[in-house]
Amino acid sequence: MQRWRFSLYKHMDIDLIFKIAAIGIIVSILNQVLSRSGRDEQATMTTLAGLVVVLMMVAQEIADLFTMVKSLFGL
Amino acid sequence: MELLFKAFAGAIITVILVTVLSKQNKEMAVLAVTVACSMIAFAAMNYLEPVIQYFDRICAVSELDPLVIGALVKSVGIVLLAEITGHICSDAGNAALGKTTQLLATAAVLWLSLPLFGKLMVLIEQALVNT
Repeated sequence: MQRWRFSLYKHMDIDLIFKIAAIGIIVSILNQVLSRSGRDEQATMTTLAGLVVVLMMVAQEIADLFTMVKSLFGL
Repeated sequence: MELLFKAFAGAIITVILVTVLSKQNKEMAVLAVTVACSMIAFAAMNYLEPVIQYFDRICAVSELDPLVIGALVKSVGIVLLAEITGHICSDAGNAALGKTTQLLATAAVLWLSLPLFGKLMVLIEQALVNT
């Protein structure tokens, strides 16, 4: 059975969590500034854009995890 | 063992970050938790890989049917993924989605065990014929 050989330290990259937290803080500040200045639509779009950027990063990580589990357990 | 401590430290750091972040931006907090969970799961897989290879070796030495060990190992994989997914859903406030995911995993495990039940039936039939 073919087993998944993986570089664990690539996946144990804690920087990704810090990146997500930083994007979250920036997006929430932008959201506050835009909504206080009466630009609610732009605030929503900013939040949505931030969410999509982070979602793309997370999707890659989840795909890697699922591929690894599939290979390891022979699914 | 370095990896184990790194994962524990990562979990604590993530909890602190997420506690701060969830007050401002709940969506990002969920995404950060998802990434942290996947990283810790990667670490767990690193420890599980030799265990599964050991199962394969036991299977080869004892001339067991690979179907038996295969179904067991696959079930573990499915349940692991379902648990992670279910808990992330529950933490995000969607307990129903989490429970349904676990129901799906249970169904998949039952489906995987069907050949084993078939073998058990054959065994019972043979035992009954011999008696």
